[in-house]
Parts: sequence; C-alpha cells; structure tokens
Amino acid sequence: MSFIIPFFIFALALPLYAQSDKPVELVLYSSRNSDLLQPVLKAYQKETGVVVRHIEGSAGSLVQKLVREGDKSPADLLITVDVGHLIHGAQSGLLEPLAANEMTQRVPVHLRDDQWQWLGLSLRARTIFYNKKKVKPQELVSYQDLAHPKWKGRLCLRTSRKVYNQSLVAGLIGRLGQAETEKVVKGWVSNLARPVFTSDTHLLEAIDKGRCDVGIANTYYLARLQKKGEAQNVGIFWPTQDNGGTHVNISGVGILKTSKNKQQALRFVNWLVSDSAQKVFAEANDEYPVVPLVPLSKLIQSWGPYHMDTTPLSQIGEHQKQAVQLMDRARYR
Amino acid sequence: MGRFFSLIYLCLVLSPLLFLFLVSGESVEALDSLLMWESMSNTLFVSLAVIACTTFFGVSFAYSHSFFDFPGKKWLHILTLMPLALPAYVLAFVYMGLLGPAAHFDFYHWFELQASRGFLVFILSLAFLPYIYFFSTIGFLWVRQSERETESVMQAGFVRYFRYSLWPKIAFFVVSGQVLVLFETLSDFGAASVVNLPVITTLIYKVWFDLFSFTGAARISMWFSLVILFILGAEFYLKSKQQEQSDNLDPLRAQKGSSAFFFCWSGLRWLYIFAAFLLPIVQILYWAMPRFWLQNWYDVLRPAQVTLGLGVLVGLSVVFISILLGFLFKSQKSTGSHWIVFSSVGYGIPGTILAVVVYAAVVQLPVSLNAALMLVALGAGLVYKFLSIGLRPIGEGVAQLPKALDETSLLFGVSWWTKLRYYWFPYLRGNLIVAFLLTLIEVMKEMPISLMLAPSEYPTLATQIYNLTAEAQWEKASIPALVISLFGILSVWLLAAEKNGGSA
Repeated sequence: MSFIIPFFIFALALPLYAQSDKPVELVLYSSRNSDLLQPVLKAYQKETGVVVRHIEGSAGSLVQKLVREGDKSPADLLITVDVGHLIHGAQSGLLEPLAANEMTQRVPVHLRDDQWQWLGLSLRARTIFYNKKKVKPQELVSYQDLAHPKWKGRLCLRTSRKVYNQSLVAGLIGRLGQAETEKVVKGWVSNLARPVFTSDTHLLEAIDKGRCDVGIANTYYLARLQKKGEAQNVGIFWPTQDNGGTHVNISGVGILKTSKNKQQALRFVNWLVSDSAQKVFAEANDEYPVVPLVPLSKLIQSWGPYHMDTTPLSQIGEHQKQAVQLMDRARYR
Repeated sequence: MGRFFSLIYLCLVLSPLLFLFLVSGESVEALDSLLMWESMSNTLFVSLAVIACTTFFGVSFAYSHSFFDFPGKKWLHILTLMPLALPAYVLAFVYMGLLGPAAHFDFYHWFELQASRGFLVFILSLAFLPYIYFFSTIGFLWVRQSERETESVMQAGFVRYFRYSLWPKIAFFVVSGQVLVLFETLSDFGAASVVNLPVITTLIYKVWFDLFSFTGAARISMWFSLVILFILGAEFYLKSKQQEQSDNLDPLRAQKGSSAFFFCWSGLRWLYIFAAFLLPIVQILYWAMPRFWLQNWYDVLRPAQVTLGLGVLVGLSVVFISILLGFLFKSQKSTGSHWIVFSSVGYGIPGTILAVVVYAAVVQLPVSLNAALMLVALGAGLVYKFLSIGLRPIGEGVAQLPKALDETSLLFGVSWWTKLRYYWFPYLRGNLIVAFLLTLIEVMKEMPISLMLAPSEYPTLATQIYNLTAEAQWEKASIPALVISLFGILSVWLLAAEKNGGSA
C-alpha cells in the first residue's frame, strides 16, 4: 500500500498546475452544451484575440447564481437554450438593455425582447415526428390535434420537466387560453403510448422502432440520429402551418447589468449575429440561424421550408410559470 | 466547559438549518398539491422499500458470509462491496440504456422503467445494499460459537435462533447501516432524475428552478431537514439503549458451505454482484470502447484530476477535523456519541439545498467571487456533507481507546502533539484509513453540490455526467462514469483490504 500516498499527493497537485494561463477578457454563463459552444468561442478568439471564459450550468441554477452573486458576479453575459430563463433573468433585473444597432437589428422582432434585454442566436423548432410506416402525414394537423382520441395509445412525449415542453405549453396558453390548453395537455396524457421519456433522442428512437406512432421533439435531435444513419423510419411534420405556425424557441443571449466589460460584451453579441458566426453557431447543433438568409446545412434543407409561429417569444415567458402548474394539474410528468 | 463546547459545536452543525428557517417565508401555493403528495408518497415508499430490500438481502449475504467457509471467500466479500464504487445515477443510466425505451429488446412491454417506483427501488437497492452487508458482517463478529452450538443441540429452529440470539447482537450494526441507506435514499437526486420519478429532492429542484421560488424550495427543505433530525434523534435513542458488548473471546467458526441454504444464497449473491457491478461495468466499457480513439482526453483528464484532488483534500480535511473533535471531546470527558450523531445532519441535508446555503454565505463575504474562493466553498460544503462519514469510524475508534493511554500520558505530562503522534495515531491507523477512503468515494460520486458550486475551471466528473445524461448521451457519459468507477473500485479494494487486515 506504500504507493498509495505518493499517488494521492500527485493527484492532489495536478489540479493546481493545470490552471489555464490564458488571459480572460469575457466571462460567459451558459446553459448551452460546452461541445456546441467551444467552436464559436474559438472562432471568436481566432478572429479578435479575445478569450471568452465559459461557465456551464443549468439555466435555472445560473440565474439563481447571478441573483445571489449580485454586484460581485464575475459574469458579463448569459446564454440560455430557452427563452423562458432569459425572460426570468430580465424580470429578476439581471440584464442590461442592449444598444440597438445595425447588427442586433438583423434579428427578427419576434425573436428578441422589445426592451432589447435579450435576443435570439439560433432557432430551435419543436415539431411533430411520426413513424412513416404507421402514419400518413395527411393524418397530422396540429399540436392540439394530438389530444384527439384517435391518437390513444400512439403518442409519445418527453417529460414536462424539460423546459422545451414548458415553453411549448406556454405558447399554447398564449394562443388558446389556459382552459383550452389544459384540455389539450390532459388529452395528450390520456393518449400516451408509454410513460414520458427523459430525452428527445429516446423518443425519436422509439418512433423509429414503431413503439410510438407520433411524438413531439426538437429538430436537431433528428439531425443527430440521421447523421449516424439512424431514424430512417422517422418523418418530420410541420404543424399548424395555416394557423399560427410551428412552435420555435431560441438559444439566446443577454448582457448582464453587473458586467465590467459591457462594450466588449456588446462587440461579442454583435459578432454572434454576423453571417459567419451564425453559421458556426447554428451548424454546431443543426439548429436554424436567427438571421434570415444565412445558408442552411444540406440536412436541414432536406426537411423543407416551414412557417414558424411569429408570436413574440416574450409572451411565452409570461406564461411559463402557468405552464408548469398546468402540466402538474394535468398529471403530465 | 464541556457543555459550552458541545453547545458551540451543536450551533455550528445546525447553522444551515437555521439559515433555511430564516430564508423560508413564502408559501408554496404555486405548487400543485397532487404533485406534493405524490412526491412525498414516492419518497416514503421508495425509502421504506429500499430499506426492506437492502436489509433482507444485506443481512442474508452477511450471514452466509460469516457462517460458512468456502474457496474464494475473501474475493467474494470484496466483490459484494464493489457496487459502492458505482454512483446510483450511473446504475440508473446504465439500466435505462439497457432496458429503456430505445433498447434493442423492448422490455417496455413488461417493465415500465420511466417514472417507476419499482425501478428506482431496484436501482437504489443495488447501489446501497453493501452498506447493510458491511455493517452486518461486523455485527456477526460478536456472535459466539458456544451459543450457536447450544441452539443446535436444542434444535430450536433458525427463526428462533435468529430472533433471540443473532438479532440482539447485530441489531445495532444493522440499524447503523439502515440509517446510512435511508440518508442516501432521501438525498438521491441523480437516479430519481434519470428515472423521472417525482421525489422530494426533485420537487425542491422544480420549485426552485421551474417555479423560480428559492424561498419555497427552502421551506420544503426546512421541513425535510426536520424529518432528518427526527431520524437522527431516533438513531441516538437506539444507540443509547445499546448495551456495551465485551470482547468476543469465542468467535464463530465458519462451517464448510454445503447446505442448500448456502448454495441458494451464494447464487443470489453472485446474481447481485452481476446486476450491481459486473453488468454495469461491462455496459460502460461497451459504450466507452468505441469512443477511446475519438475522445478528447483533456476533457476527461481535467475533471478526473479535479475530482480526485477534491476527494483527497476533503478526505484529509474530514480526517483532520474528526481527530480534532475526538481529541477535544475526549479531553472534555464527553461520552462522544452525540457529537457523531449531530454531525450527521449535513449528511442528511440534500446536496442541492446545502449548496445554496453555502453559496448564500459566501456572497456575504467582502471579497470577489473568484475560482479559489468557490473551490474553498465547494470544499466546505463537501466537508460539512460528509463529515459524519469519516467521523463515525474515527469516533468509534476514539471511544474504544484504552483509558490507560490517557492516564499514562497524564502521568508523564506529555504534550498534546506527542499524545496524538505516539498514542492516538498508531491505535487509530485503521480507522483513519477507512474514514479517508469512505469520504473519498462519496466525494467522487457526489453530484448536486458540485453542480452548483464547482467553478468552470474545475469541472468534476459528476457534473460532466449530469450534463451528458440530461440529453441521454449515454455513450459520451460512459467515459467519465468509467473513470469514477475505476477510482471507486481502487478505493473499495483498499477499504476491503484494510478491513480484512483487521487493523480497523
């Protein structure tokens, strides 16, 4: 056992010398996966020489962290993968209104805050998927229609804990009202083929294997599977095309009031909505760029065009808490 | 003086609960009452079922281990302890990948794993059974051979023998194991998240992060912590009722294992080892192997260094504090058992809430929140959480120190350092190693505190696994899971070797 003590001393010393010696100029709190963000940060550093330090965590915990840190926060920017937490950050007084300029105005109005406290960086479409062998696309209409008894024992959903579903239901509350949305969600729950899934990937795999006929998921999960040659039986359907459009969410950014480098942070945000950055940011995860006319990847193009819901995303944030409570009442777990 | 010191210690230990009481003010009306009751009933059901399963199988395995002799006994003992090396959330994601909705075989038609109480009980029982087994094997050391022979002559039957002869000897140890299992089950967040079953810890998370009510979360946590205090009080009461046992000069002589009972339980034990350790390890390796050449190893080595370094630092701190407490209370002539019991408060508080308490305290300091400060905060949170893990073996060792040692040192007027260096350390060596290794294993597996407090420059393996499993990326998560498992296996092996050496 004599080797154990030197082994542990060695292990103890390792983290001390392994610290980064690069100068940090911007600190970014982000709930976006590190693998997806690193290519963007590297590209920015290569282009401008500015090092962006990335602190990863769940959006909820990062917002709580910022509230607790107050003026002492080292962070300059907040990036989330859902609009709800950005709105919560804005409501908590954490975000500084951006200076509207030529670059930030490239982001469509419904994908940014009307007070300019946050704006979208990439689009995440949450749409309907179906098993090509069991369902004809003509049978599908809208999110609400999945509550119809004809889908009993055929629908699969991801857990209501996931913020993407909370935002989808918040969007429905905005469009249909609370009572109607509650009926829809209860219908979904009664139509479930299986208990809710913990991931969109599993949901799509289950549809592919014919264990569910239809389900709701974000499009980039299908892209991940298709790149591996999987999910060949899964078809994509864009719902509510004549009446409101497909639900979209954003991965977005806000500058923090406590930032000590606001000018530098704004330069970074401006760069993020440039054509070159938009391509890197969206393609890293096969999402849609927020800036129109930025070219899409071939895979995304193969899914065809769609009309997105252009209801301002800020309205979704207003209904987020109601959505969580509604899903609890409907026993959507 | 002794009472004054105990009071200060008690205040320090209970201060996070006081903090929770101060910050919890808002009611949780926003929360659906059905979900509240569902979370509470799930927590209660899962806790009781896990205790029942782990006790039945843990005590049975320990019985067959202690009463029978067979080839490879030592190795089977180590293998039975090995599931301690795997965090419950790793077991959960391995089984979800194996039997879940996307598995090759559609087990879903027979077993609904998602949101299943039975599945969570299965996972947590696999993960926590070694606690009961370990404590029960120690308990069986107090059984006397002569009593066993008497019962055999009287032909009293196994049930009567167990009820009246064995149980009184092992009850104290089994209850100690059950308390650990209960705390682990109540604190579990990771496995319940993977299974998607609402329990109290996930409810706290939901109130805090989905309904944006920190004070509501603190309110639930406060009530939850009071339940923990009640459990600790019950444990303290039971321990105070325990009669002192004199040294066992007539230990059991294990029989050659040849009965049907022995073969049945050996088979079940191998099945347990397969399900709780061998299968998960093979599955993790199966997922990890194709990634070995694709993996950016810096992404794994860095968290591995941080996790091990943190584990060693916290382990050493826990050992140091435990010795200090033992020394101070011993010199105050305190009986000692209550300070061990109260230190368990931290172990019972869910990590998510403990992280908030620590964080809220840190931001009050008049210094900037740099990485070094956050590391210290993380270390402090982990030491508070796992102090009782180290304190129990060291406290038990201190309580058993011969009185002659103190009298001799007093007679010769030796300094406190000499007393520690030459009298205490040699006697407590085994206990110190056990305390250090147990703490190391727990720190490496810990998830919620690290998630909240670890600075980005110091990611841990557990936080990496959380981020990957949240998106069901089992294959990617298998690499950090493998590293945690390897560290855990080494630690459990050392622990078992230390115990086999009999120096503890």
